Formats: sequence, structure tokens, C-alpha cells
Amino acid sequence: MLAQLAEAIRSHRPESIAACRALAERALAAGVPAARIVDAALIPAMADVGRRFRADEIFVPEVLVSAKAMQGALDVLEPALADAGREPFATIVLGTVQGDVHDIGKNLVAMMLRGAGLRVVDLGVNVAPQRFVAAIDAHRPELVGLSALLTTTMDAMRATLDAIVAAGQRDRVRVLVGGAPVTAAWAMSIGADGHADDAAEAATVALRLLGR
Amino acid sequence: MTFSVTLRAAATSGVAGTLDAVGGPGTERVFVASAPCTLVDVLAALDLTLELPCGGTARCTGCRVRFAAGAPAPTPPERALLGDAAVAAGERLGCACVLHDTAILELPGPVWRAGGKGFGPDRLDVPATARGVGEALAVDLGTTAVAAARIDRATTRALAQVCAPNPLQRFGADVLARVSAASGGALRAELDAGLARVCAQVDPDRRADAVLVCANPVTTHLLVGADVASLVRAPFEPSFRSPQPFEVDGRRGLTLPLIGGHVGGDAVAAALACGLDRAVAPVALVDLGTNCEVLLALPGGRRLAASAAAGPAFAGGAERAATIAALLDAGVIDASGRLRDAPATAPVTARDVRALQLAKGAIAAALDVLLHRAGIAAADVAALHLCGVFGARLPVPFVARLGMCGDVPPERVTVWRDAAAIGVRALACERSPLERAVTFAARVEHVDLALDHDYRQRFVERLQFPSRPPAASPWTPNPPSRAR
Repeated sequence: MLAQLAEAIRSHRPESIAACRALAERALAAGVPAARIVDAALIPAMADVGRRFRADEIFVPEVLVSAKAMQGALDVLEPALADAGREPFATIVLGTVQGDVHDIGKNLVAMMLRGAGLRVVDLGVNVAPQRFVAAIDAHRPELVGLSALLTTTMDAMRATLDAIVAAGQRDRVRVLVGGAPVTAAWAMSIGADGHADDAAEAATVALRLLGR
Repeated sequence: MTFSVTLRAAATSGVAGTLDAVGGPGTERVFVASAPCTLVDVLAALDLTLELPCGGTARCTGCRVRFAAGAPAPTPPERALLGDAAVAAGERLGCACVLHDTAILELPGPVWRAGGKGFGPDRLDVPATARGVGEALAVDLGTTAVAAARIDRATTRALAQVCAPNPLQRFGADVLARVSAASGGALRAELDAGLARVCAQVDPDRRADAVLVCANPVTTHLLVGADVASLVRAPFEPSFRSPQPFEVDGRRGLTLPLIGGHVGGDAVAAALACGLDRAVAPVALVDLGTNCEVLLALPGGRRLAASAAAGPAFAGGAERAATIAALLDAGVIDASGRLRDAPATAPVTARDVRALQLAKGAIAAALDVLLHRAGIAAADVAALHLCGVFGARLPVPFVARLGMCGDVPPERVTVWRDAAAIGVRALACERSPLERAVTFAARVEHVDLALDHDYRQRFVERLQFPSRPPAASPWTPNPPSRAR
């Protein structure tokens, strides 16, 4: 049943979105612990989706279908996960920086991170530095993710990092940056901890920054 | 159907150099076609121009070419003008060739040159009563190239014209890169100098009274010395929309009105050239340059406009789009865009295909949103005009195969060269050069797609390629340029 669920997530067929909910419900009803369903089906399936996305075998529409299917199963499992005292192992506060309103890439990152088992607090687009600072206080994340898609809005990444430093939060979080014009050299120059080329890499870099 | 057209330097001396100059390294260029096509269109896709002394009407032999293999059946004018012996030796008229099958052509050097922006036909269709007097300069200040012409307003004729690279290219290929690379003052100084140069070239004696310039919003702001800050980050709003006066090298200039943060005077000029201000049925315009603007005009005067980030994927030329279309037909690329079993020698990479998907998805989705807002279906669109530095090089069958224009029937798509330049030239002829442009621009509803949920959903849907090739439609070469 877990193999079936993993396969349904991987298949990126529109009908698999409903199938995943049903399969997760059946697995729970059969007594499989929710945590095991997540670890043995959801996470490896999304890791495989990420790998194939990076290899250009699948593209944004396929990843979105897989992510929706995964999210459907996760919605079914969440009450059971909470009952069992299983919490996401880390939290990331994520947003597109001030002046920029692109969000498809940022949403893909959020889905891949959920698929990797993180709690994602998505602040949306055009997020002012002080909103990141406030969210870090409110949600106590281990990671902060900043997205910018324009060369003219990349500077807002630096402003956000500066605000995090000024608020005395820099030691508490690792900062991950990404977006079409963002390079590793840029990430280093503004003092970020990590950089990812695409949504799938964002998940692997996030795990690395968390030491997993 | 897939076949290749190979263009090879003729054995005569000097020709290899010509090909090198226009086509990058190598003396052979290969075009992969997925539908019958004219030779003129193959060359346009490769960014080569065949000079047509008689205007492509098969009445002279100025465009004579020779096929080493795969010569198409000769037409009666070719037999009459070239003679049976030359026809038997593979000679044809370049303007008359329709290619259906694999062919190898030898290029006679002097006939071929790199394509540049022009200003359209000898005369424009501007009503005599609306024309002004004297001379004026019309300038299409594009992101890639600057084209200027000196116009005799009474006859509409272009007395002199020139096309030069945009001087800001060294700061980056697109306007955002340029704004990040240098200060507004530095960019403005370069732009002024470049504009002064082309003006002096076409009007050394300073006969023209005024300079009329169409350009994208960022370039327009730089030209008049306005701050571009509001244009390059959210909310991407221009600080003015109305035409602005400016001075260049002691000449009086005026800019065309702007529609929105990414929809500028160049789009207005192109729309007027394609007759969107006189639409009696729904008419769409896709202006595909380094950025893409989509406009929709409805009978009754309602107009909508939006912009989509789409240009860079097409900067590789129509060649790549054509190759991807052919690989779709061959099943090497599937509808999801996956490049399967690609041989190591595949002419495109998986990343090229993905970049093209993002670009064409943005264009088709922008068109979808405008149609939806207007409450009409793609089938209601009577005509779709495709123009812009990249759009003008895309043959219609490839546009259809890639799904760039959404569900608009391919036979209603027309490709235009130099639409913005022709539009600004026509305006420069008019007694009140800005009246028509201002009236048009004022009625356009600018639809901001950046935060539009409907757009994002449609964009993802439009990333797919059409799963089956559209019904074979006969290849129609570019129509002769018209004005208004």
C-alpha cells in the first residue's frame, strides 16, 4: 500500500490527487503509523520527483500535480501525526523579497520543502525585511528562505539579511536564497548560508544546512 | 513531416566570409523544417535576408540561387526568366521557392546579408488629408537595435534610413540588467549619443523639424531623464504615461505614450501599424521582443494590454524554435516537454526546451487572460498579429506547433516585420503626430498579470505543448508590409 501511495505521488496523473488521499486513509485504517507513511512513502516519492525535475525529465506542471497529491495525503495524516506527537523536524520561514511579486518558483520551493518533511511558513510575495524579522520571532524557524526573480530586486535580499542581523536574529537562523538571477557568488557576497538553483535543490540544500 | 534545408557557401571566393559574418562560425547552416516553407522564410528564421529587387514578385533574376540537391519543381516564371538549361542545373528564383523536402542550397555571396530593422514599404497608407508637411525623423528605439528614418511627411516616403545596435547593449541584453549595471545618468548619456548619431546619419543637414521616438517604458524614461526606480520593482508603474518632450543634439523630440510599466510606446506604434485602433472584429497583437506585450482590441473601442516575460528564450532565434517544433513532430520531445532519447548530437538541450516552454506559456497565458477578461473565445479572434524582433522571425506553422498563440486558429496569425518602426513612421507623417497614439493608449486597460491568480493557473496549463500537430495548413509567406 505504501509503494502504491509513493507510486501515485510519483505518477503526476491528475487522478492521482484523489487516489493519494484514499490510499493514505486506507493505510491509516490498516493500522500503519502515520509517521511511517510519511517516511516510507511521501518523503521518498517527493525526493524522486525532485531528482527527476533536476534531470529535466519532468517540469513544473508535473511537479505541481505530484505536490498536490502529496499534500492531499499529508492533510489526511496530519491529525494522526499530531496525536502521535510527531512534529516536523524543522521550520522554514519563506517569502519573495520586497519589490518582487514572482511566486511560482517560491511556491514550488515550499512544496518541495514540505515534501522533505519541513514545516513551511510562507509569507507570500513583496515581503518587507521587517516582516521576515517579525516572522522569525513568531515562528522560531531554523531556516529562512528568500526568493528574488529580478536583478533589480536582488538588493532587497541584502536588505533583509541586514535587518535580520540588526534584530540580533542572525545566529538563530540559516539563510537560504534562490531565484533566476541569484548565484552562489551573490549568496556569499550578501552573507547568506546557502543557495539553490531550483526548487529540488532548495530541498537538498535545506536538509544539508540542517545537518541531515 | 520533417526535412532539412542546408545552406552552403558557393565555391566562388569570398562567399565563405559572407556566411561567417552573418551566421557565426562555419560555412554551412542547417534549418530543420516541419512544414512546407518558402526559402525567404527559412532565411528569415536564420536571420539572413535575401535581397528581392522586384519585391519578390518573380519578375527579375536578382534573387537567383542554385540547389546542389533537392531543387523544388520550377514554376513557369522561373522557366521563363532563367531558361531551361539553368533550371536543369538547379537554379531557381529565391523568392519563388517553396521547399517541401530536404534540400542543399549554394549561396551566392553578395545577395545575402544580415537582417536589420527597416521602415516598411515605399509609401504608407496615410490619408492625404491627415498628412503634415515638411520632414520629420521617426525612430524605433528598440532594446536590441535603433532604427531611424527621415520622412517626407507629404508623400510618406522614407528619404533616408539607418539601423544600428542599441548603444546600451554593452550594459546588458535587457533593460533590467542595464538599469542594474549603470546609473540612470550614465545610461542616458550613452542613449543620447547613440540617438544623436543615427539622427545625424539620416539627417545631416538638419532638415527635419522634430524627432518622434517609440521605445519601451524604461528606455522612454531614460530618454527624458525620468527616474526608472518605480519601473524596475513592484509595482512596476511608469512615472508618466503621456508623450514627453526631450532634446537630443539640439533637436526637438517627442516620445510616444506609454500604456503600463512594461507596455510602452513601441507596443503602441506596433498596434497602430497593425490597425488595432480601427478593429471591426476582435484583433490581437503579440509583440515579441526582449519582453513580450500582448494587446487585444475589440470592436466598440475596448482594448486590453498585458506584458509577459518571454523574450530571452527566443533570443536564440527562430532556428531553435523551429528545431523544437520539428522534434515535437518526430516524437523526440513529448507534449510535456520531455526530451526523450536525445542523441548526443541533438541540436537543442533539455534546458532550451524548458526555457521555450516558460516563454510560450507566458505568452499564451497572457492572451488567455485578456480573452477571458474581454469575455470572448480564441475562436472569436479575427486576426492575431505577431511582431517584434523575435516574433517577426517565427514562421506561423512553428508558432502553431509550439502553442504560442494559445487556441487562436493558425490561419488567422500574421507575422509582421518592423511593425513598431512602420507605426512610428506613419505617425510622423500625420499632421498631429500624437493624436491617434494618445487616443488609442488612453483607452487601453492595462492588466497587471504579476498578481493575477487566473494568470498563474493558465501559465502552468500552457507550459504543455499541443499534443498533436494542428491540421496541416499551407505555408503562407510573410505578407507584404502594410501600414495602418
